[in-house]
Amino acid sequence: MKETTNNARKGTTKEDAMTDEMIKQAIIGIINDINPDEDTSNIDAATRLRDQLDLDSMDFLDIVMELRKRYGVHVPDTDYEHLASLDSCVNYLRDKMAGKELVS
Amino acid sequence: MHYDAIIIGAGMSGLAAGIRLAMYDKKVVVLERHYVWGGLNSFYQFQGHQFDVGLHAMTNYAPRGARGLPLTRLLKQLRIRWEELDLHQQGHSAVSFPGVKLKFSNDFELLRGEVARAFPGQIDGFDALTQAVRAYNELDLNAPTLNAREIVESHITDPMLTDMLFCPLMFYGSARENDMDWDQFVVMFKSIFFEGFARPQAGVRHILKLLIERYRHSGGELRLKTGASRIITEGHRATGVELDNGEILTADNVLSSAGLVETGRLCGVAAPAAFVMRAPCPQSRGEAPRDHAAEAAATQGKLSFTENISVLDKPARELGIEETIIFFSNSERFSYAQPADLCDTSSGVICMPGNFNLPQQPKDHLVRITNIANYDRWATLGNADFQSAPGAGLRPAPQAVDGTSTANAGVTPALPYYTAKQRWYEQSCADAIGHIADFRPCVTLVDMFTPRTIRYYTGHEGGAVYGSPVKKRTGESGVEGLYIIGTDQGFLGIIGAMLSGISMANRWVLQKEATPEPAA
Repeated sequence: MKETTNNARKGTTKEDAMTDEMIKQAIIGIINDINPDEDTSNIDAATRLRDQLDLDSMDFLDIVMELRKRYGVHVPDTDYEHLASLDSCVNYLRDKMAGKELVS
Repeated sequence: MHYDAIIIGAGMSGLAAGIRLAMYDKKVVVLERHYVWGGLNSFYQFQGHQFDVGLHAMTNYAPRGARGLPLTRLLKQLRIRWEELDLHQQGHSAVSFPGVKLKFSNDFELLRGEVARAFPGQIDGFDALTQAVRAYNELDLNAPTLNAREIVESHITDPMLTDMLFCPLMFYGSARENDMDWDQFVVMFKSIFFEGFARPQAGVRHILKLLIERYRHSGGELRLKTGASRIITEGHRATGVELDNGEILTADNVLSSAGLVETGRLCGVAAPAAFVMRAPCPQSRGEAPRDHAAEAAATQGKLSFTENISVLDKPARELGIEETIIFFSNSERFSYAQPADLCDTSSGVICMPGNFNLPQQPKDHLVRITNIANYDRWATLGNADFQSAPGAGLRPAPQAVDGTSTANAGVTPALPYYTAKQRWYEQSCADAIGHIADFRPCVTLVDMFTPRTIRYYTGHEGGAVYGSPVKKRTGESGVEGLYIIGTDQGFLGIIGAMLSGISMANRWVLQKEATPEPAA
C-alpha cells in the first residue's frame, strides 16, 4: 500500500547475506525509531534488552511489527522470548533475515 | 468499501487507535459526525477568540526520557518526540476547602508537606495510602473492581482530607457519583499528584494537530461530517457500519469510542442482551439474580458539567491569583453527584491557563470555572430568549451577586436557556470568589457551555462527561469484532484516552494478527 510494502519487496531481492552485525543494527534501528530518547550506543548484546532499556511489552510488539513491516519476517508470539537480547535476536533471526537488505 | 478497522469517533482515543493501525498498514477509517475532530477535547472560535473545550491541563506530565510513565509509553507508541508536544508545566495548583488549602505541584513533596502541615495527625495514613497507590498495577485489565473510598478511609480518618484528595481526581475523571473504582482512583492519583499538569502553549489544538498529521501521514482516512447510524451485526459478530447517509462500510473490526450505552444503541435491538452489563459495585457482583433494567439504568452516566470562560483585561497574576488550577468546595464534605438544580456551584474547578509556565503569555487572559450540572434540567429549557442573547453573548457578572450558593436552597424556576446561562454564570463566579481574588470587575467577555454542549461534542447520552460508570477494561463489548475504546474503556484523561485507543488497537487488531489463528 505504501513504502513499507516496497521495503519488504526490496528486502527480498538483495542477494547479499545479512551479517550478524547487520541484524543487530536492524534491531537497534527499530528501537531508535520507537524511542529516539533512548541511548542505544552501549547495549550489551548478551544482556536482556529489557534490563538495559525502557522497553515494555507494547514496545516488543512494535519490534515484532516493525520486523514484519521492514523485512517481511513473521515472529509468532510464542517466539517473542527469542527477542530478549541482541544475541538471541541474531540467533533467532539469522535464517529468517538471510538475503534481506538493511532498512534504515 | 471494506476496511480492516472502522473507528467511530475522532476524539483522542479514536485518533490514537487510528494511528497505530495505519502505521502498520491496516486499511482504517475514522468516522466523525462533526466537522471538527477532538470529541470532548475540542476547540472553537467565539467572537474572534479561540477557546478550548474540555482541556484545562494535560495530566501525566513526564520529563523528557522519563522511564515507564504513561506519557513516555504514549510517545513511543505514536512515534511522537517529547519536544513535539511543547509541554509547559504548571506553577502550582491547590485544593481549597473551608479554612484549608492544600497546594500541590508536579513535585509530589509539596503536597505531602501540605498534608503534614494541615493534617498533622493524618500524615502516616497519607503515606500508607501513597504506598498503596504506588504498589498497585492499574494496567492489569483483569483486576477485580474495588471501591476507592473504602480503601482511602482505611488509611485516612479525617473525612475532609479524604474529600480533598478525591475532589480533583473526581472532577478530572470520575463517572461514578461520590466514589471511584479503585483502579481509576490509582490512575488519577498518579496522573495528577505524582506526575502532574502541563500544557502546550497553543492548548489542545496543538495536540490534535499532531495526532491528525501523524494519522494522515501514516495513510489513515478521516471522514468528517460522517456519523455512524448503526453497527451492523450478523449473529454475534459486528461486520460493518451504516452511515447517516445510508452508505454501508464493512470491516473486520469496529472500534467504538461512542460510549458503552451509545454503542449498545448503535447495535440496535440486539444490543442489550449482547452487551453484558457488569454492575459497577463489588457488592452487586454476588449470586443475586441480575436485574438487567436496573443494570442498564446504572450504566448511564449522570455527571455532566457547565463551564464558563471569562476573558480578563489583564493577566490573573496581576490580581494576585497565583494558582494554575484550584479545585474547591464550599462545604467540608464534597458532593460529587448530579444536582437537583441546573448546577451545583458550591464546588468546582477554576483554571487559569495563563498560569502555566508558558514561554509567551497567551493572547487572552482567561479564568475558566467548571461546575457539576444536571443534563436533564438544561436539556428541557426552551430557547425563547435566543433573540435577546445574540451569539449567546453573556454579560460580565455584576459584583452585587454574592454570598453563598442558592443551589441547594430550592430549585430554580424554569428559565429560558440563555437567561439560565446568565444566572448560573453569575452564581458560579460568586461561589468561586474567596478561593480566588474577585476578578469580576476585569471581565470583558464571557462564554459558557452547558451539558447540552457536552452532549453535542461527545454524543454521550445525558451529556455524561466521563461516560458510563461501568467501564469495559478489556474493551470487549460482548459482540465479536466490536471493541470499546476511550472513556468507557476506562483509561482517563487525555493521555489515558490515547493509551486506551492504542492498547485496544494493539490487543484486538495488531496482536491478534501477529498470532496466526490455528488451522481449523
